[in-house]
Amino acid sequence: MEQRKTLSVALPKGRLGNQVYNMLEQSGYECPEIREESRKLIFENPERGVRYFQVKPTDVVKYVERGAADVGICGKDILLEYTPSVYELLDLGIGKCRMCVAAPKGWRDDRERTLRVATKFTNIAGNYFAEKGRDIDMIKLHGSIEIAPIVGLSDVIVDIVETGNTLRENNLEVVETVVPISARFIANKAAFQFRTKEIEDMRDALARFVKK
Amino acid sequence: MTESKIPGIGEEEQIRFRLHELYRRHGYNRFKMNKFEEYELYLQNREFVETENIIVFNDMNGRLMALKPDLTLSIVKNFRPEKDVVSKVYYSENIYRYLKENRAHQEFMQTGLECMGAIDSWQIAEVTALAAKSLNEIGRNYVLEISHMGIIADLLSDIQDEGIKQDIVRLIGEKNLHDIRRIIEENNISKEIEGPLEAIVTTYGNWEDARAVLESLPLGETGKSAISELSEVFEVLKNEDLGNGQVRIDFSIVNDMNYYSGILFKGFIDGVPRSVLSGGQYDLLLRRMGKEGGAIGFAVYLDYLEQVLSGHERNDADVLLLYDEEDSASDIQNAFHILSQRGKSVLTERAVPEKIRFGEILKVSDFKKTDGKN
Repeated sequence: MEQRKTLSVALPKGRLGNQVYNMLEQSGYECPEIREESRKLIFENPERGVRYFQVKPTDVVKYVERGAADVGICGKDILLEYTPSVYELLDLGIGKCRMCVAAPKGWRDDRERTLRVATKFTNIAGNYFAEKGRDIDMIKLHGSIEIAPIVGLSDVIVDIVETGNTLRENNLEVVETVVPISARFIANKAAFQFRTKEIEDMRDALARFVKK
Repeated sequence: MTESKIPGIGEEEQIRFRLHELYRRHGYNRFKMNKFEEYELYLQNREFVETENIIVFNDMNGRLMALKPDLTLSIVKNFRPEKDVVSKVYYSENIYRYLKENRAHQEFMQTGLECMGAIDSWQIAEVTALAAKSLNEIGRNYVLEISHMGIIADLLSDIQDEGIKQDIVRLIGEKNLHDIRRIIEENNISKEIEGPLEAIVTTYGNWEDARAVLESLPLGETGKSAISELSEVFEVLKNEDLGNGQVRIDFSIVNDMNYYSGILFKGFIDGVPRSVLSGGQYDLLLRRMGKEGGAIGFAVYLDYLEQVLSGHERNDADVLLLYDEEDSASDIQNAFHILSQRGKSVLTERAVPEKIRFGEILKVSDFKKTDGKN
């Protein structure tokens, strides 16, 4: 038999990554040094056949698509925005939120005018409005999207809404839901051919935590 | 595999030569093409080749021309069907494509073959076997994944909405079961399809195991004939000793249903993050171009092997031969010949250049002394 190969796992930095690491730890993919305070970037446990590294959530797809990581965890928003060529093996059912169109309270769409849309997700927003046949003026921003309609940079925003608190505090409201979002377990297509069993085992271990 | 090393030629080029030789042995003739094609051809077949981002220019007659993003269309365009006969060609040419992840156009060398005309199950099996043999020639651990659009099309035949059909095909390609279930639920599609689709997504690997699963599916004529076609292909592969767990079933290999109706395959090399070989049967393209018969072919992208191949020689030259004002031209020439006769590549310089690697550094004056002594 072939010996077990080490799997490289790209985890998103932040709460989602920690949550998924906890699941993996409980499933026997532990790597204690990840919890130690250090400047290390890569954590490996050869006995468990696993190597972790934490990267920016939007970069996870790049590491996986280009094979630097065999598998990774990222939000459906990132997959829809970058459309990488990867396998999407499991919906983890965590990190749940919605991609929404939001506007100042009481805002009314004037279909005779080009809609000004501020967003980080230009692909998702572009596809969504193109499907509706709506002409838009896209404004790509890199953060604090909520400010745009308040100061008159845009009419609406397309952004992720979790609880809606940020929107409420800024006197904004959800106009439409574009798509529900949750975290997904993804794999590099070539890595899947050569490390099938290892990747399936990790997928099945994570699947045990998914609430039906 | 035959390992005939020609010094100075990179491994990638050597593989290319071996592939040409392989295709020639199977009666394929080389099809030479130039780099340009009328843009119109791609517009008429816009789903076959992504028309966005093709490099386009006007020629001297004002015609809109393109730098070829694909070779199959040009070959099919030139194909003249002949009754009961197949036409077999192979090619190695540059193509120009936009790479989304690099956000730039890139030139690739594409090597491949097309078999067009009165194709039957033998021709399909031979081309599939040639795909496996092509991967074998690369000399690394490989996997050839085989799929069949006939089975997928059969399972989806009850779905009327083309958009939903395409979404499901894409999700099969992602091995994405959770979103397939979601689409079925959201669009009130008969639940009866869920089980078979789940089987298609989760069935991969060994042919014998896969066949048992496929035969249990509620398939119509299209699906059943696809299964028997796959059986024949795997039989031929087995006789060629190409089974061995390296050739597998995997229905995540999908392609546009407007062009592909039959067998599909993709090849992977361990250590390369994307598929290096891609092909299948595309009868529907011929029909769309008003030609009789069927067609099957594949392309190999050897450029993608860069990450695993050893490249050229480790050193730029075996010997750096240094000379100065004391050495005459014939002294230098003499030293060069001595080294050259020992099979060394020799770079002659006055000083040591930066960023060039060589096995050893020798001086012309050393040769004058040794020659004097001996």
